[in-house]
Amino acid sequence: MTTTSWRMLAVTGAVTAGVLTLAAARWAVGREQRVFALRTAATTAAYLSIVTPPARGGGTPGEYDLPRLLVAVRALEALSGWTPEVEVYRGTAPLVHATAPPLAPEEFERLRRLETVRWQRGAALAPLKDRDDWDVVGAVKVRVPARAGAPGWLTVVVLLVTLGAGFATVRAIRRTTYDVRRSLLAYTIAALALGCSAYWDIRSAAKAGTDRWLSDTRLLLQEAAARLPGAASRVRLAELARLARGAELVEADSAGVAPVRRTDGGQPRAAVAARLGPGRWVELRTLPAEALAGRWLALLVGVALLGPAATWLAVWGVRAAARPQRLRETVTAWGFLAPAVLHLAVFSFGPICFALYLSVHRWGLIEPGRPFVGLANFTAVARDPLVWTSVRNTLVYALYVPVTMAIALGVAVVLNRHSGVVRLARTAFFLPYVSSVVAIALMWQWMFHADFGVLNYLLSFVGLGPVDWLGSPKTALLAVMLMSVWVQVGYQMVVFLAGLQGIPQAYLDAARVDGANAWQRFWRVTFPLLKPVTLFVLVTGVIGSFQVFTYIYVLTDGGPLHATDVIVYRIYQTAWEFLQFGTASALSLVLFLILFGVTWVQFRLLGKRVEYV
Amino acid sequence: MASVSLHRLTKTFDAGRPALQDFSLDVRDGEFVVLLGPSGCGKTTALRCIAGLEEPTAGEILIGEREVTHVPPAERDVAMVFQNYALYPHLTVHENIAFALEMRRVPKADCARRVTAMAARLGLAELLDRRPAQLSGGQRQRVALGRAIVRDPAVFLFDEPLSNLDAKLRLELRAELLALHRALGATMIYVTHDQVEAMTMGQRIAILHEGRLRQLGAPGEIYERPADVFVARFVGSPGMNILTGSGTGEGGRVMQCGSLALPVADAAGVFPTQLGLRPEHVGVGAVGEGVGEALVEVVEPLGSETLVHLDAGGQALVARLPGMADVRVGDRVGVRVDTRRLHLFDAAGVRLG
Repeated sequence: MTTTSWRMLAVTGAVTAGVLTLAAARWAVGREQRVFALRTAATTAAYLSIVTPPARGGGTPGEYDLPRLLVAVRALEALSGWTPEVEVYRGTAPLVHATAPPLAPEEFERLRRLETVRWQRGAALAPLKDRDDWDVVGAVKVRVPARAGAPGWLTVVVLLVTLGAGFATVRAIRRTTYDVRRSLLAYTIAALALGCSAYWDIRSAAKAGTDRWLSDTRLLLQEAAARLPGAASRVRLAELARLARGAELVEADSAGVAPVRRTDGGQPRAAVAARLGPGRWVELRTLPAEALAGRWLALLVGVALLGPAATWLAVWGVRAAARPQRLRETVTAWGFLAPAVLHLAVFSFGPICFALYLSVHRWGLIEPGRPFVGLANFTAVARDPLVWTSVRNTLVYALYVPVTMAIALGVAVVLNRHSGVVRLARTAFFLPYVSSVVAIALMWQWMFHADFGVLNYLLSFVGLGPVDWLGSPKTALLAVMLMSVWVQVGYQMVVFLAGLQGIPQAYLDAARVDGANAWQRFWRVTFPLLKPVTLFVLVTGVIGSFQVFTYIYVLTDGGPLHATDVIVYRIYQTAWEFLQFGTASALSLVLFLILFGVTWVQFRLLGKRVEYV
Repeated sequence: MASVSLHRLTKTFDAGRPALQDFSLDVRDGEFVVLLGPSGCGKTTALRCIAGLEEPTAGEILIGEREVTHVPPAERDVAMVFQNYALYPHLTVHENIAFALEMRRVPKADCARRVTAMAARLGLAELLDRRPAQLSGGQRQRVALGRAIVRDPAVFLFDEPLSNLDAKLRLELRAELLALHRALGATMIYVTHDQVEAMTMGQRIAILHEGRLRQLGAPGEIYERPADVFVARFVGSPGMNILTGSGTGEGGRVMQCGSLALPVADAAGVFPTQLGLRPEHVGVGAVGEGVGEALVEVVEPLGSETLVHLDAGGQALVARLPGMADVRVGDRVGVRVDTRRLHLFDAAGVRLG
């Protein structure tokens, strides 16, 4: 491609990204308003069905007293502070503005059939059911003002700045590298700002929607309390609760006219107080819509960054066109890298990022709301005594690593020669490591058995036991460690053997001539030269021990009395048994930090004098 | 200081041919003996047997008056310098030199004093805190020497200590080693495959081939009177020309080797079948001159001398001519020979006379 076409591509990319960002934001803002309208329509319908008394003197059962319905609807418009534009239909006929066009029969039919709030022709339509909640007898329509979804002025300004920066970068494409880099950076920052600003519009719309619904519902609650027969102080909350579908209605003792935000038990909440009568207050609480707006941020920033990405591509293209050889190499290199990169992205980085996201959200499989909760998951983790138990157990469990290393090194030294028997012995030691973990665990379960296990049988010869290895909190962790030693010795032995064989014989010969005996040769020459191998085995071993799960899962289920409850088992249980994925993700991040710290310390302490032979 | 005696030493490894066979050698106290031979000749095996790193299959080893055939290396009072120096990479120069002393429980202060003195003597004083990886090849070799000397052993063993160094450094360290030998007056056994090293350093040279001792003698003796065809070919660069032929003339006093007719003396009544001739004792002249004629195949002008490869009727020989000789490839030339310098060998390759 020529430079011009690359620049055209960059311009197209910049404009598309800007327009797309704005369009996405506009759609999202409109959606928030629709959500508000739908909710208000449903609430209004519920309100009307509560406050309208049944028709007097027979008629269809459950029929409303029509004049009173009309009065109630009219009263809505007169309600001070009431904002929605509402029309109520009896059947298909409009009640308030008699001259307005009626509801289309097929629309009403659909409403009757589905009995849910629907979005139709730019308005929210909620079915108005009869007093027995049996049949749909009418509809409540709530309109969103026509200007809805217009971008905020700040967003428009930022968009213009972004486009300007984009064009400036495209113009600079032919100049020196330095110029392009600077303006590309500026453009990227502007695009980021655009994404954030558009997100802010959505968030504001969501917040406004929640606030308006709370205020409007508060008015309806107060109005309903006033209209219901009997003293307001005796209105049952259960009756009013129909108004507050998808929200909580609780008795409260103070009043606030404006909606407030707060956090209840890690859950963000928007609340407003309503005064039902003298000395009687209720509080209406709901999940604030802006708590769910976070996902838009990633999307909008991503879309906004398409512009800089296209420009960067154009810069790269222009530069690559000057060096076709390099271009070919780059494309080939990426071609070869692609499978690995894709695999890593999808199965490693993707899940890691998702875990990061989960750790700051309340995220369950069945809860519909998955709000952002900040560091609440981490506080929950820190306050959970079981987490601390599992950390302690994991630390104790990790002690099996140095024990195994000592055994493995000893075995490796003994087996560091060539003969048939030695080869057989090496295979025997290595076998557990390549065997099925579950099979091994089941086998050890039998060996550990209190009554029939071979361990207790052997102990009985020396007059000890029987020990309930896996059943007693005192020995369960020890039992798991014993098994881990048995499994890992073979692997560590092979690594140590490789290390031993990497030590040139000349050093040991020199030591022999220098007068060192076998013991001195091992501690003064072999062991120091094995240090890199030892460090490798230690670090990987400790990391592995912190990630132990399968043995615990098969052997003990973390029991008895949490005696073998380790960190990963805790993560598993939190996620898949308690379905608290947010908390589980927070815990896994904590585990990551612990492992990072452990590795760092080990490298600092042992790595300083690592010799590379 | 001590003498070293090897008596009918044989070493057989797991498979096949013995690496060392009936090898006997007497090294006098304070002598510098070089074991020379091509790779695989058993010279390193012999050295390792003396050090105690290998146990001989048969035969015995004496150091001084003491029989040490089955004594572990630590108790033999020998020091060894290895081809790759074998400096402990995790220890500093100081610790490397002190290692053997520590193993022998020399008191700390004494040990430090001896290491410092040794370092000063070898010019390593600045390097005592470095690790082997931070040293140059020559410095490493000096540390390896220091490690051997500091123990003040009865016998020094060198296993091709200079072969990993570049040519210039090798020359330098060769001289240093000789000076050291003079200064210490110690018994030294030195293994090498480099005949220049052997000729310049050894008071006596033992030439090994296929696990057997071929000749033991002073450098001059080895060069002047090689005991067999192998030694004759191996020593010297290029090695001795060996011509085969059959006797003609009255009583076999002339030997016809290809196109050359060489007059030989009857040596002890056994008629030779192989003739040896050092390249420097071969000259070229016009056709018709000398003992016969030959075809010039390759000319290697080296500046101070020229090597001319000749084909004399199927017998290859090399002539070393002084300066830049005026010979071209494809010339036919007459071959002149210093007949007094002929070496005579029998069919088995053993020297006659």
